Amino acid sequence: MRAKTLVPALLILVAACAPLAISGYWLRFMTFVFMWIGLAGSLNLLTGYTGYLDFGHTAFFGVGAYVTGIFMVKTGVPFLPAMLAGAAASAVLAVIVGIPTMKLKGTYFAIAMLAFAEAMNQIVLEADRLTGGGNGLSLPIYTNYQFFYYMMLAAVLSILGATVWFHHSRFGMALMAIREAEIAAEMSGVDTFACKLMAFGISALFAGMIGGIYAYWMTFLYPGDVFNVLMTVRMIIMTFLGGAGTLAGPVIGAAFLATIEEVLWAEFRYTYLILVGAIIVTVVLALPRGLVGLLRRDEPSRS
Amino acid sequence: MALLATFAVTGDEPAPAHRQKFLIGSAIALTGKYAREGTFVKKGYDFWSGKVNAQGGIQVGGKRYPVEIIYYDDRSDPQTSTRLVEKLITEDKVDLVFGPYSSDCVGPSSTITEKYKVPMMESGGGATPLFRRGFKFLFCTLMLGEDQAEAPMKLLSRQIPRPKTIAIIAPKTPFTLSSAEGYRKYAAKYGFEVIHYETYPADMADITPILRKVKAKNPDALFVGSHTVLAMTAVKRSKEIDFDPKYTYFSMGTNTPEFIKELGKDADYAMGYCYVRRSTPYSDPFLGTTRQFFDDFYKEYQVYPDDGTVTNAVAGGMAFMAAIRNAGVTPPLTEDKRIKVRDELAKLHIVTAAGAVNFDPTGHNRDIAITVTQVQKGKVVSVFPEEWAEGHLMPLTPRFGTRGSLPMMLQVLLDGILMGGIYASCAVGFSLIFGVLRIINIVHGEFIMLGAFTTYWLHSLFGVDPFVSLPVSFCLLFVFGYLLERFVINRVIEAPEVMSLLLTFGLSLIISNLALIAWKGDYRLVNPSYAAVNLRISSLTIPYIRLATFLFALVAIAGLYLFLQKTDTGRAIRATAQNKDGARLQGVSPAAIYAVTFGLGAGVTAIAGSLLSMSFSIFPFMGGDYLLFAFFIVVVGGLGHLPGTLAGGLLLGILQSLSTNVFGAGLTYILIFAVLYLVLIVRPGGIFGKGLVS
Repeated sequence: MRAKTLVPALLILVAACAPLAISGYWLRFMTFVFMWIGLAGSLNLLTGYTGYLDFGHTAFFGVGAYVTGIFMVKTGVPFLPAMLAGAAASAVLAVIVGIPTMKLKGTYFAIAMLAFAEAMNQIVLEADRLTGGGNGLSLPIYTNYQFFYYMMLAAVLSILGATVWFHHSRFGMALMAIREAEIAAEMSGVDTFACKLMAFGISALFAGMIGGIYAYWMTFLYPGDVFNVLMTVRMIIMTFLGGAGTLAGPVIGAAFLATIEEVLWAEFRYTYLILVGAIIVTVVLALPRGLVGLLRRDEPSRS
Repeated sequence: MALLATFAVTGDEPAPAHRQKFLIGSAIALTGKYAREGTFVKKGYDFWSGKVNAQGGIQVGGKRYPVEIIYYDDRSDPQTSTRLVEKLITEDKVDLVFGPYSSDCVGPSSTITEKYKVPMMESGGGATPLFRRGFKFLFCTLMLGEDQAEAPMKLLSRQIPRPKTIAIIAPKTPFTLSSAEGYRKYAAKYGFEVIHYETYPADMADITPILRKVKAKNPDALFVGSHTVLAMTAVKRSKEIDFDPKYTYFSMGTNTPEFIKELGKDADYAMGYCYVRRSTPYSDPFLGTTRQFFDDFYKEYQVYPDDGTVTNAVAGGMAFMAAIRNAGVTPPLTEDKRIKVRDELAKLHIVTAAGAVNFDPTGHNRDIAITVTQVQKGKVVSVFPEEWAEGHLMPLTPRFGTRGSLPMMLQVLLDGILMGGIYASCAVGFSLIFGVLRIINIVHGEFIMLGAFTTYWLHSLFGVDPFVSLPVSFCLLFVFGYLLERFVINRVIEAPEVMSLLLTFGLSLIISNLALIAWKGDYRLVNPSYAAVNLRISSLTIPYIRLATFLFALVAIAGLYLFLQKTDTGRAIRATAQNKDGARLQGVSPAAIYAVTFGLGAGVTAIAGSLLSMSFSIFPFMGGDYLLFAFFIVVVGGLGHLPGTLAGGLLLGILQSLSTNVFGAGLTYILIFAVLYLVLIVRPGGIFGKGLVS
């Protein structure tokens, strides 16, 4: 029990103090790792706990980014309220989309969300008066990189906080019951649909929040980059690589993959994507429960 | 301990104060979607630094300092680009930065050079918005994206008879949109009437519907905001529909060797632009004349730097060198020295063999010369500026002209049906595999790609007719698919669906990137002699090749259907799809059936890839474009329901063709995904309700 609270506490302390020791590239790299931990963590809140594979999750990241950007550029709203508006817009959108879409199961839900994300991409491209379309959207420039580090860290901590809450609340229990046996959950009196929608909304809220921070951090948005299906694929891979439906899974998965990519890319420029592919194949075949499964063999996980 | 400490200091990095050379950092695309262009730019930088160092370095105050360039690969990704640019500045402590390729990478990474006050010299991103941010340390040797459009308009305005109307089309990417906006701006300035202006999603697979609309308006000139691959496909598509405007201009792609190599005589008359050419009468004491510069470059790389990206990269190096000399600064460059270099760059006014450099206050090169070129009899010839042109601009004599546009809708419908058949053949293997194995097969896109390459190589190496190569494609990919399922995919067949999804995604990464290493990222075409022979009935035009690929696609689908209906193996496959355990009780081995099914799916998909290769560009990542369509077709037709797949394909083809004609391409894409989404919600079993429903 002590190790279980001590290790995360130490990690958070180190993360909070890190900018005293690192700057420049390393600070940016850590911010980048946090961004992916956050994105994988937000996907995990839905996919890991309800079993719904969201193949269009980057749509919420993108909407958060664009709403933040548009508010800042077009109306001159400061960053924080703009980002919160972006996060809220993502959450609302998820609930609206979720009402029809969450009636689908498995593969059908995945494909529907993929179509949704692609449609969002095209809508942002078409609405170029508002979004800059294919020319991209240039945000006000702010280069205090420590600020972005702490913003991403805060987002990650709130996502992890939500994950802990999932583990310890009736709501979280209900979600896991849905994942394991939806009909049984329904019969036990769980309002499964409301629970699923809420999980979807929370998941999108965080993805949108990270999108907002990303927008201000990168200063330049381009639809093909934020609505890229490969963004979603990375979130999924990181989540399952680490272990879906666990607290540490997305953290380990995202940190591992982001770091290994950074190392592999430098050493194996033309073969690194092949190596990433090989890692994915290996994990699926040899570690179906993810890296977390290596550490803990006792806890059952979704299979 | 003390030893360790000294080690840490000396081993880490040499104290920069002693550095006797200039260190320039460059994070550039060597892999990913801009790999081709990024590699060109790198050659430019390497050539320049090689030249500098051969002379002992940059001379500052009687001493020479060599140049070293540190390269990182930004994988064509903006996030990676920012990380690497910051790494170059804060870790490698570079003095100056050469910028990345493409505007979406220059946008974010230039904020970092701006923050650290490091001059960035780029020749890869000319999108207008980047230069409205008031940056002081960003310099671009390109002309502003819009302004490169002035030269061709000026040239056209001097032709007799003077063309009157122009049409403009461009995919929605920063560079091509800037080009299109420039065309519009300068068309107005030179008094041309723009009778059609359309931008469309960059991932649109077939631009035939757009060209049909343009053709119906019969413009004198067509201006395309293009990347390399689009220039090639646009020429092919125009030929297929007998569209031959007098002048066709591309913002990129006509000066590359593959444009002429792959298109043959169809490449003739295509106009484009580059910056300096071998015939440009520039010179400087360092590179010599432009002719010498081109020949030296050729000696080193066996290719002329005709692509503007290369000459502008060299011009960027020349600008850095001149600014360093003028500022009289020695390495390492501290912040005050970098500001001095920046100030010198801002007032630079030089002419070099690689182009003239004179930055306007936004950081754009206002003096760079644009050379307009045209392909004439299989050679790129410069036609503007007239003072040093190698030839005159030749208008294309219309061969067919337009003969009324009454049955336009009929033509559009026919186009849609023909394309729909090919789309259906692309999706049928996907549907079969899903129906039987219940997995979403992401490797599907790679099957299409491998089929296309099989046809390409058989055609280009052995002269095998593309249609004859179909059985070969089928057999090769059948074996490949069979083995892949038997030894890899079969291991996750019982696992949750996300596992097979991840596994096939991993496999698709491996296969497409192996293909990239083996065959490079070049765009290729299969161009048989009969490729653009068209069937004409009254005013309808039907390319024979489209008709033939359509028929073959139908044959492949029918063959698969009959196989499943009439043979024992087919019955066993259907039985397994319906009830695995029941089939097992009847003596069918599901594992064997899965492998055969997967092989069949791969084989049929390879045939589709071979058919596609006759009309579309072939490259290692081509498969991804068709994967999304496969989703659409299979969902609309009903997952796992083969006759529905044909209907889904036709529906997609017709929807795309009609809606592009009526609403435009951007809305069409939204419509396609909206239909896909709605069908899933309202009728998850597909339009016939016969698909599998979870």
